[in-house]
Amino acid sequence: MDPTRIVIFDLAEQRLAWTDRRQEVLAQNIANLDTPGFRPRDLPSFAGALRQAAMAAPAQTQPGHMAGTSGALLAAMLPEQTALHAPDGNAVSLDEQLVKVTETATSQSLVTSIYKKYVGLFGMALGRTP
Amino acid sequence: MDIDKAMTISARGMAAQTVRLRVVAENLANADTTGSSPGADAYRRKTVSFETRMDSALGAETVRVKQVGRDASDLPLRYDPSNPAANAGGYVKTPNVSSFVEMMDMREAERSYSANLAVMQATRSMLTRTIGMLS
Repeated sequence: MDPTRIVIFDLAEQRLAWTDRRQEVLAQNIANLDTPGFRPRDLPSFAGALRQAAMAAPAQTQPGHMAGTSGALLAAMLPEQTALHAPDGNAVSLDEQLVKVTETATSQSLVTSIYKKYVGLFGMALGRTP
Repeated sequence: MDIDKAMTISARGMAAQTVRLRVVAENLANADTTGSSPGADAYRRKTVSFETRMDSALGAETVRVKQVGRDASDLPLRYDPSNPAANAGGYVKTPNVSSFVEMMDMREAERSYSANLAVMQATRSMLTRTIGMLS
């Protein structure tokens, strides 16, 4: 059995890639807290991006077809819609960004915990003491 | 790896805010620096502006100090005929540094620095957890 074909591990991997990428985008927003004219950016939500990636995946109707890329999950960096901005045109809200950082860290913690739990379950099934 | 990029971006942000703090320190230290010859200009307040820059080696956009400029506003005059920088009328040009503005700028730089530090700490704990998946 190929462990990468287990859905939960596959999903965990994608989610981790998403949290890594999001952390990078949020770090950029916070680093540019005082840059005039800077608009904060964000990734599309994981659920939405996953749905979109599943919908837009090219079908392989011939054996010679290429599988296509699944990079849609991490590609689009949307400028955030913010109503307020400072007189210098900077629209980064520190509280909002820090909430997102915490949110991303929490979801990453959840994913790693679930991953470890599942690896532990496989170990148990194989007769290893955890 | 994106986690490393996030750490580097935060570090660049902290470096840019440090330059800003340095400029605030320079301004405050020179708040009483007048010229030495009659009618000479006093110290002009320095200003900092930031810009977003694409770092192609890193593959991400980082922040950096665009330029350290000079505040072109008028230098206030003070009547002090005994000062070596006094002009014919006895007025001395004094620096256009306002301690309130500088303190405000310092607080803001401090706040931005801590925000970058908070992101760095969150990123670091994420990295630690990812490494913990191996155990």
